[in-house]
Amino acid sequence: MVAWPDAVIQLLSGLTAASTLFIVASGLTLVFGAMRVINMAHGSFYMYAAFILATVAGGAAGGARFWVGLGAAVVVVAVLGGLVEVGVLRRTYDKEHLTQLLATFALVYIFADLALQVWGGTYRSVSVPPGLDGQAEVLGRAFPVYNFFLIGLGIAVGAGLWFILQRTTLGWQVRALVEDPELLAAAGVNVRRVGTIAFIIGALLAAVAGAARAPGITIAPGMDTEILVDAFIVAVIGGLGSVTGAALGAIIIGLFQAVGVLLAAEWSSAFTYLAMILVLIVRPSGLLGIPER
Amino acid sequence: MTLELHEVHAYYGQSHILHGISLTVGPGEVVALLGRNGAGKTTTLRAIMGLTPARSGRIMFDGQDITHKPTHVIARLGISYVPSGRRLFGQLTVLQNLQLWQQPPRDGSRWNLERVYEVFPRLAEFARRRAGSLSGGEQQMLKIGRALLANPKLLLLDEPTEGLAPTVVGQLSQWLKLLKDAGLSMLLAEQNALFALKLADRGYVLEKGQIRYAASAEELRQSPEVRAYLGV
Repeated sequence: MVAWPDAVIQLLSGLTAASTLFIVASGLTLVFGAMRVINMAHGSFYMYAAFILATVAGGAAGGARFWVGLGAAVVVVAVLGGLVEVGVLRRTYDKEHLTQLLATFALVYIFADLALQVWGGTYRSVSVPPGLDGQAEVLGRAFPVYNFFLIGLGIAVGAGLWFILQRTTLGWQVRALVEDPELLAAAGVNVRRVGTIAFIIGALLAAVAGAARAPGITIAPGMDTEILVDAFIVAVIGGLGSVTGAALGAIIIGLFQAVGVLLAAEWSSAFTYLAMILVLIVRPSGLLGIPER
Repeated sequence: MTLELHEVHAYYGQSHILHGISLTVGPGEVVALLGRNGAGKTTTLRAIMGLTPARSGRIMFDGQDITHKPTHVIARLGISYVPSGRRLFGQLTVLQNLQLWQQPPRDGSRWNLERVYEVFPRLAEFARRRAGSLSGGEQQMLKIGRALLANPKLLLLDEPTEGLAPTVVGQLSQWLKLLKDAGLSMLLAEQNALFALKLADRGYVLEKGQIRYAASAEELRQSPEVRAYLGV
């Protein structure tokens, strides 16, 4: 049997993982919701943020420059996102979905090769920033302080997104763009601009997640597609296009993985797919997804 | 406010829909655009809005060439488009729908939320409801209300009576009369010729993407030929 303090620790670990997953998946789902585009290069934005952070604040002594590195990562990736939308995606909106998928899929390879050129194939690491390092005591067990920061960050990002989408004109425009772009243009709104902003916000979310998650993981080529698969599963479980759904999906996957580790560690990644299959059997459009008309 | 179309041709993909439409709407005028289903009424309005851009010809608004301007720029110049059917943002609230259209007052046009609510008290009552949950008549109110909030110089109405109950059509007629009396110019595309000609000063009859007749509303009402064509 599992002692219950261990179970609580495992639950907190699950929520830590869920938090990062949510931030990445919310960007993916926001972009899909606004523009009906699945951005395969979303994971590349995540990886680039981690690499940029490692460049600025890498190594054991780099911790003090963590926040500067995080800021740089977010800014550079946001600019990159804007370039991708204006330079590539904008040319594909009037084409079929497959074209968009292939275009963003091509970007995955281009970004991956570019990363190899710039950063090489070596592994990097980033230290936890001072002040957030160390362990907290939870029910007599140790739990990293930084993980509490990650959980809090996920909650903050969720609240921020909710506020933008429900309470600001930009948010209404993004939601209106999903429903009827022509009508939004007829209302006098520059729909291209709204699309670009939505895409940049999506890239920014991937960057926040990639940089925030970087301490404690190995930063290496391949983390782009790895996170993309997880984020995609989370977004699909929640219902593509629904940010609230992404939060639910992330919590489900985070907890399934945590429980999986506890019950059968070697099978833990199978639990991710099990969760997805179970949800999609019951709700083919995802938990909060709206069926395609 | 003057709208002028010169020899406008428009296509959907390969199919040639408008074959050289020329028409004008003068200041304060209500102009009816009549014709059967598929005659090109909607495409004419879409061409004006830049939603189905004209491939040749010229569209002038207040002396400015708007033929190739993007839709949102045309909207901001003062043309408000009221599309047919249930086109509104069903996931947003009534209030959010209205506010998305809001534009600063223009000389002679000072619509704001309060004034729209005065004309359509129902919208104030349902401000926090999802627009998708409104009845057909209420959606019509919302579609006209939001168009007014843009403080337009010209209103483009596409089949406003479509799918409305007869009592609502009567109300609609009153609302539009009110706007006409306030000096708002309108281009009114309708299959329901009797409805449109009651309100309009002049009218055009479209057939297969061309203008077949152009005359005053009175003449169009009297003409046996037009009546036969429109089936009234």
